[in-house]
Amino acid sequence: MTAASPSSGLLSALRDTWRRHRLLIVVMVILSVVAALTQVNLRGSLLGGTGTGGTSSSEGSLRTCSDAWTVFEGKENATEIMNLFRSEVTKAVEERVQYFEKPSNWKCMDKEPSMPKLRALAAKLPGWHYPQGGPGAGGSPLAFPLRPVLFESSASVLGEFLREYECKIVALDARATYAVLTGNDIDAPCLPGACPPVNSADLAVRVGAYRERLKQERSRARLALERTLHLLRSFDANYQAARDIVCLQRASLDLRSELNLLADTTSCMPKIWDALTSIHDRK
Amino acid sequence: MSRLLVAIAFSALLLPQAGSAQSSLFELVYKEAKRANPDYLSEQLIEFVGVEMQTWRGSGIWLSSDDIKYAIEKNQSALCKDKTTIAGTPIQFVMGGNISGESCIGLQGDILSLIASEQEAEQLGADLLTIANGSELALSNEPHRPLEMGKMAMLLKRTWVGSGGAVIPWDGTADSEVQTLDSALAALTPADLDKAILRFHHGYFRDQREADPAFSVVAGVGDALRAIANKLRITGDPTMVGEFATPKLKVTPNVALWARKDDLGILWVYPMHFARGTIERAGEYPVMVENGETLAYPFSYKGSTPPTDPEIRSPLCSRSLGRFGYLCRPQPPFDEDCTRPGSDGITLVKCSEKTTETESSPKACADLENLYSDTGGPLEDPDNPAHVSPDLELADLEGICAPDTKVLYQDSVASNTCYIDHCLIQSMRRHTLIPNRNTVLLNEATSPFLACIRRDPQLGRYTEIAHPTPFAFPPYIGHLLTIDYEREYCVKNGNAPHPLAGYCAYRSSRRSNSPDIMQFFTAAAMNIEAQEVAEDQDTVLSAAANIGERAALEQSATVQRKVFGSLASFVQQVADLLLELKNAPLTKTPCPWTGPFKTSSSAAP
Repeated sequence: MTAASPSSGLLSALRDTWRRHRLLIVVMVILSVVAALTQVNLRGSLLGGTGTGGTSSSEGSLRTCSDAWTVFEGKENATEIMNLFRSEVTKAVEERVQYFEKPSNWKCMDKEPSMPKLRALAAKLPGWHYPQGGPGAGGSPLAFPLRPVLFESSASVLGEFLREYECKIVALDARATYAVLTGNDIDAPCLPGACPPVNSADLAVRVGAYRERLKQERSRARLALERTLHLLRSFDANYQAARDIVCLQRASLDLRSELNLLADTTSCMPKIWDALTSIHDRK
Repeated sequence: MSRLLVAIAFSALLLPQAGSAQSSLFELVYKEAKRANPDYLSEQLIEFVGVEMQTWRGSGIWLSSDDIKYAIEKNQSALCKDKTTIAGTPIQFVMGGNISGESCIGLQGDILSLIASEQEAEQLGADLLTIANGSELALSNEPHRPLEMGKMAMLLKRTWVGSGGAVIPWDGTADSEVQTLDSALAALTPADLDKAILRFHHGYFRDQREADPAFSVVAGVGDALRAIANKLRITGDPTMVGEFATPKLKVTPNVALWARKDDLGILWVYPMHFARGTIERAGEYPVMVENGETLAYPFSYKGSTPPTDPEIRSPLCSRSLGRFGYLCRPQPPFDEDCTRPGSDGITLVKCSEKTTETESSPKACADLENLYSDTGGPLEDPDNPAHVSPDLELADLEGICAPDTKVLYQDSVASNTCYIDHCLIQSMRRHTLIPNRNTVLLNEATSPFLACIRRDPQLGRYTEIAHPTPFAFPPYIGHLLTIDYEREYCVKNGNAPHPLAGYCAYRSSRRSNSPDIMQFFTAAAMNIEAQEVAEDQDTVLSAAANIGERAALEQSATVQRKVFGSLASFVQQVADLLLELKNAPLTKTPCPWTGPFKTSSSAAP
C-alpha cells in the first residue's frame, strides 16, 4: 500500500462527500448561484434585516439595522440616546393614555381618532416608509411615502422604534472602546484628540461596565415597552365597546330630554282628549 | 308636575384632572423594569439571602447586606474576608495564598444563584400580573384608570333606569386630608408603599374589621385615611352605596385614592408587581389555610371564616358596579322544577322547561313604584346618595296625570316613559274616544259644542310647545284620524258621514218612534239590530284600534326615529294601549248633560 498524496486525499474526500451528499451539494450550489445572480442577502432576508448599513432591495422594505436616517443617527452618548428613546416612546404612549382618559373628547361621528404624536414618530422611522417612485432629496428613505398610521398601529410603530433602538445599542456595544476613549460611557463626551487619557486598567474596567450597562438597557427597554403595551391592551381591547357605550350614552341623554318634553306634553293628555274638562269645565 | 334633574351622573365626567403630577405610564414601567436587572436587590431579597445562607454547607455563614452586594459586584476579596460560620468559627477560603478551604467563587456562585432564582420568580409574577392587567384593568371597576368600563356602563344604566350606582361629586371638603395622605404615601419607601397598598387596597374599615396580623403597620397612612373618612362621613357601614369622585394624588405617582360611602382605600393605578412580604423557602409554600377563602379575591387575608353579617361583601362585590355582578347576587330560592344546586361555588342547575313571559301591557311598567308625590323635598336621600329619600310618598296612581297633581321621579328614560305610559292609560281609561268630544274636531264638527258660537277658551293651551326643543314635533294628525274614525262609525251605523257625527250612534228610540213600522216587527228588528250594532261596534272598534295603532306609530315613531331607533318598545306600548280601546265601553247615547238634541243653539252651554 502506497501512501496517498495530500492532493489525492482531498480529491478522494471530495469524491466521497459527493457520493454521500450528492443531493445536498446540488441544492447548495443552486442556492449559491441564485444568491449570486439576484444579490439577495439570504441571511438578511431570513432575519428581516440586511445587516449593518445594508438595504434590502428584494422585499420592498426600508428596514435596516443601522442608525442611518433614524433619530439616533450620529449620536454617540448612551445617556442621550436612552433619554431620547424614552422621551419619544413616552410622547406616543401618553397621547394614547390621555385619549383613553378623556371620553368626553371622543368623537362619535369620526371613524378614527387622529394620533398626531404617533404619526410624527412613525414619520421618523425609515422602516415605516415604503419605496415607491424615486427617492427624495439626498436619497433619504424618509422622503418615501409613509405607511398608514392607524389608531391600531400604535404597538407596531413602537415596536419598530424599539427595533431601531436595539440596533443602535448593538452598534454602541460594537464601539464600546471608542465610547470609553471619548468619555461617552461616563457622560463626559469629548472630541477625539482632546480627551483626557485613559489608562489600560481603566479601559478594561470601563469598557466592561459600559457594555454591561448597554446589555441591561437593551433588555430593560424591551421589557418596559412590552409591559406598557400589555398594560394598554385592556384599554385597547375595550375601546371600541367603550366608545359605543359613550356614544349610546350621549344619544340616551338626548332621548331622555326628548322624553322629558314628551312627558310634559303627555301630562296634558286628559285635557286634550277630554272635552268634558277642557270645554265645559264641569265640576 | 315637577321633575328632579339628577346631575350626579355627569359629575363623573368632571373629575379633577388638573394639577396631577403623575409620571407617564412608560416612565413608570421603565422604572419598574429595573427590578429585572441582575444587580437589583430589594430589602426582602437581601434579608432572604442572608437567612438562607445561614444553612450554607451545613455550618452556615454570616453575611451582611454589604456582602451580598459584593457578590453582585464580584468583589471576592471583600466578600470572603473575615467570614465565620453561624457558630462563630472562622471560615478559610482558597484565595490570597491559602491553598485549602472553601471556594470563594463557590460562595459567590451560590449567592448569585439564589438571587437569580428569586428574581426569576419575581419577574414571572410580574409577567403574570402584566398579562392579567392586559385583560382586566379596563374592567376592574376601580377609579383613576383610563377608560373605566364600569363607570361608563353605570352612567348609561343610570340614564336609562335611574339606578345602578351613583357618583358623588367631590366638593373639596376633604382636600387637606387628601393632601396629608398624599404626603404620607410619598414619604414611604417603595417596600412600605407596597405594604400600605396591600393593607388598604380593599378598604380601611375592612382592614379594621379583619385585623389581619399579617399586615404591617405603616405609619401615617391609616390615620390619614380615617381623617378623610371622618370628613366624608364614611363610617364603614356596608349597606351604604355611592362612589366619590376622588381627586388624583398630586405627589405620589401611580397611587390613587378611592372612596365609597361604605369604605375608602388606596390602590395602584397600574399594578406593576406583587407586594412581597417576607420571602421564605419554597418548601413553605403554598400555605394551606383551613377555611381560607379564594386566592383571587380573598374575603379576609388571615383565612378566617367570612363574617356572619350578610351585608359585608367580598372586596369585589363591594365595588360600585361589581356588586351587581352575577356572582355577587344572592342565590335565588330553590325551585322545585330545578335540580338541587351545590352547597358552594358556581353550580349549573337544570330546570324543567317553563316559559315565563313578561307582561306586555303597560302594566309591565315596573317604575310605577318610582313615581312620588312632589312635596318639595329632594328625591334622593341627602344622607345616603343613590337611595330615595325615606320621606317621599308614592304618588296616587289614579291621579298621576290629573292637572293639579305634582309628581316627582328620577329623570331617566325609563321613568319618563313610564310616566307617559301611565298618563295615556289614565287618559284612555276615563275618557272614551267619542266623536265630537274632542276639542280638536272643532274645524269640522260644530255640535254639541258649537265652537262657531263660543270659542273654546282652552284651545291651543295644551297643545302648544312650551319651550324650544332641539327637534321639530311632527304635524299633529290626531284630529284627522278621529274624523276618519267618525266616518267609519257612521257608515257602519247605516248613516251617511255627517259633520254632526255624534248622532251616528244607534238610538233605539229613533226606530221605535217611527210610525210606519209595526210594533212587533219593531221589537224583532230592534233585537236583531242590537246584535248587528254590536257586531258593527266590534268592527268599528277594530278599526279604531287600527287607527289608534297607526296614530301611535305615525305620531310616536316619527319623533323617536329622530333620536333613537330602539324606542320601538315604547311605541309598541302606546300601540298596545290604543289597542285596548277594544275593551272600552262605547257610549251609545249623546252626552247626558246635553239632553235631547233639538236645535243647535239649545246645545250651547
